[in-house]
Amino acid sequence: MSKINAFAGVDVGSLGTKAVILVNGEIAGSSLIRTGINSVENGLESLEKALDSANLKKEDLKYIVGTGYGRISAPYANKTITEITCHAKGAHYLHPATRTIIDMGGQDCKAIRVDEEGNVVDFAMNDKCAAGTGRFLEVMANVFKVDISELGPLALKATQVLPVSSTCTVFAESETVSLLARGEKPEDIIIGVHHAIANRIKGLFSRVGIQSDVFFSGGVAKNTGMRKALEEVLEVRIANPKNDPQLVGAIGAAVSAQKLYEKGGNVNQRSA
Amino acid sequence: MAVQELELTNKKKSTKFSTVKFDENIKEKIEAAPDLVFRDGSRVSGSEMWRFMTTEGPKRYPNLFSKGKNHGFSDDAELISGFRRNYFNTTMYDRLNRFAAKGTPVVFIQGGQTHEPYYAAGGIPIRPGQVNGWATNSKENMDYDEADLRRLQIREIGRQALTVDACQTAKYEIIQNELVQGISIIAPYLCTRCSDIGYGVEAHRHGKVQLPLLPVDFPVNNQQNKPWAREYVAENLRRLVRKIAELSKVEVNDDVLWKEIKLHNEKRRLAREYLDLWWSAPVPPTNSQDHTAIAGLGNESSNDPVAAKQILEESLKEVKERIRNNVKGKNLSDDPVRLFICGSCVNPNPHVVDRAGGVVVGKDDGLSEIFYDVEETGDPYEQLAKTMLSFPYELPTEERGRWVAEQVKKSRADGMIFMYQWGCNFQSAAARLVADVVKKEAGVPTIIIERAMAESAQGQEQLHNRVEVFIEMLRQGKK
Repeated sequence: MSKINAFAGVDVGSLGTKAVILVNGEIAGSSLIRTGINSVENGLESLEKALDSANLKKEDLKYIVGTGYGRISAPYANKTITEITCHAKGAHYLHPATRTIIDMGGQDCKAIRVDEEGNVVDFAMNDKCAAGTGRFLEVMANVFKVDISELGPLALKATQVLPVSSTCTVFAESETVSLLARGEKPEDIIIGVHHAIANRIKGLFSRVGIQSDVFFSGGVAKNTGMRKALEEVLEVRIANPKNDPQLVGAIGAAVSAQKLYEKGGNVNQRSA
Repeated sequence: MAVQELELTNKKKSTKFSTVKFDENIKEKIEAAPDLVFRDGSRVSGSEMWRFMTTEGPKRYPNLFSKGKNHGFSDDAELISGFRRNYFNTTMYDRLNRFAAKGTPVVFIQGGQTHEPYYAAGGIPIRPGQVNGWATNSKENMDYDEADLRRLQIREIGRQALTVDACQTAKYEIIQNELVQGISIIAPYLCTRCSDIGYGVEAHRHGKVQLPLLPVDFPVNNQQNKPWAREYVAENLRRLVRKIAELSKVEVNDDVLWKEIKLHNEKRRLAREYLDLWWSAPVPPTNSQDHTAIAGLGNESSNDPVAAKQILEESLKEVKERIRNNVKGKNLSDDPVRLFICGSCVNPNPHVVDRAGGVVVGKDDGLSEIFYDVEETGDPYEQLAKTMLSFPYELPTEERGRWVAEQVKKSRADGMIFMYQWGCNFQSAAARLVADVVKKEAGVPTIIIERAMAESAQGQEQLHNRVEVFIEMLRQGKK
């Protein structure tokens, strides 16, 4: 077996597949690819790319943890863990003072409370509805004919927040089209869309509570407009770690892989 | 609207799931076990059971004998009573067809209540879930995918005919669409567990198939100690028994009803004894699937309380033996996270729970049904009424919550999951209050999970995800 102390976390999400390699407790490589139709292949491809970026081979890995909705098809993983636990572990790794996590991914958003060791103590999720998720922003980007990465900067240019419904993506899209037809400034509508999502998430925190420090993870956390809207609506400051927030789940999976291995996890479970 | 027949030219039977194969090592034990005796005195030997479960059953019902990660019979092959229970449940549809052919009134009822009046009057009570299973499996030789699609199509019929949030209401449409033959009367209790009963009953009144309709009125809000309420329910029960007896042509007197009450009291006592033993065992002696199924025999609705009682007795004996020998249920992890479940009609998938490192210890719905005996003195109808009105699940929500908190403590549960169907107006409203009371009084974490009904049996990853992460969270808290 390789003498390198390397561990991997693979997070197969609904829109993005992420992998992180941890060597001696430090992030040595990572990758992010678009999730396709084959969960197993997506996970393996992401893992290979992360290994390449760390100049390692699969044989160097002592333990792999799979997470995200695609974890049910992760034969390469020694163990699978839910993405909520992984986001908690990842946020704790990056910012140990984290007590609350807002995770906004492609198909759901989550409010997660953690203790001083990064253990989940409560959580609430919003799914079954695209409102309040990355998919919602994708739909909106399409309405404004811009790339999704441009939405945040555009929102920051707003002069006022135009109210947009947070109930349903389809309704919100229809409202947005009406507002555009009325001649409202796109920036003001876009910040309204971000506030609609933030209000949606506020409902989750009414159930689990909120405590500083607040950490923002998931693909949507790259959106500066969303960050600002959340800070305004939730009346909190959001911590600002340097790593890519979309990798937090994979980081947590890699951290968990190391812990499980150190506790004597069974490496023979891996089947591919 | 008809259920589309799935006879596509290119359709091949799915091979993605295996078929259950029972270990030959248990054959001897199965064949040596005593006959299972039914209410009508008929008997089935162990050899006949083995033949059905290994030959006839898989051929007729490939879907029921299909084995996947999240479905199929329990893996605990050493539990002989489990094999016999699976036989009992799988042959339910044949029994129902026989009842229907003989003209025995099959009565559409609602869950959560006593069955004595129906049986005493010569009827066979059947709950919405069983009606659905009966309709689905009225077509044989379906693989798991085909049966799953048929279930969804049946639900869709209900949605299109009644409402988008139809759940058990879809079962009224099973009658209207004549997907099963033989239901003679609709006679549910109108207790406070389901917001759709009244709607479904009302919708049925305007259907093309007109069956006798006899809802049993049920005064709510803690009326069990009020004489007027008992008398009122007792009168409803007399009316119910008279009506079913008219159809069955059975003569019913108090002695017949007492005999039925005694039988069901014995089952309730056995189920409570089983639960007490299981809860106090150092290691859980059965997995989640077997445990909930055994406890459920206490108020079975597999249309034969005599056979159900026998299987319950056998299960109790086996479980006692396991506890003596410190045997753990198959597929359970060491020191599993103990979950108490609240809500009607839907449950966390037991395979998912066990695999994630948990175990289901109890359910408030099922436990409520067996919590009190019917006193065996005085007027049987009034005693039945008193018991029914006392069932904790039907009490005001805060009291239900306090009772659940007691059971959570008694069962040494680490957490409570309240699960309900999307569209269930009653349980969705009760969930928050029950969860809050349990959190406060039992001091355990709780979670409310709404189950989306659009899902096929194989598309429930988001639902499983919530259960799994809750178990992970409780596991971290246990360390």
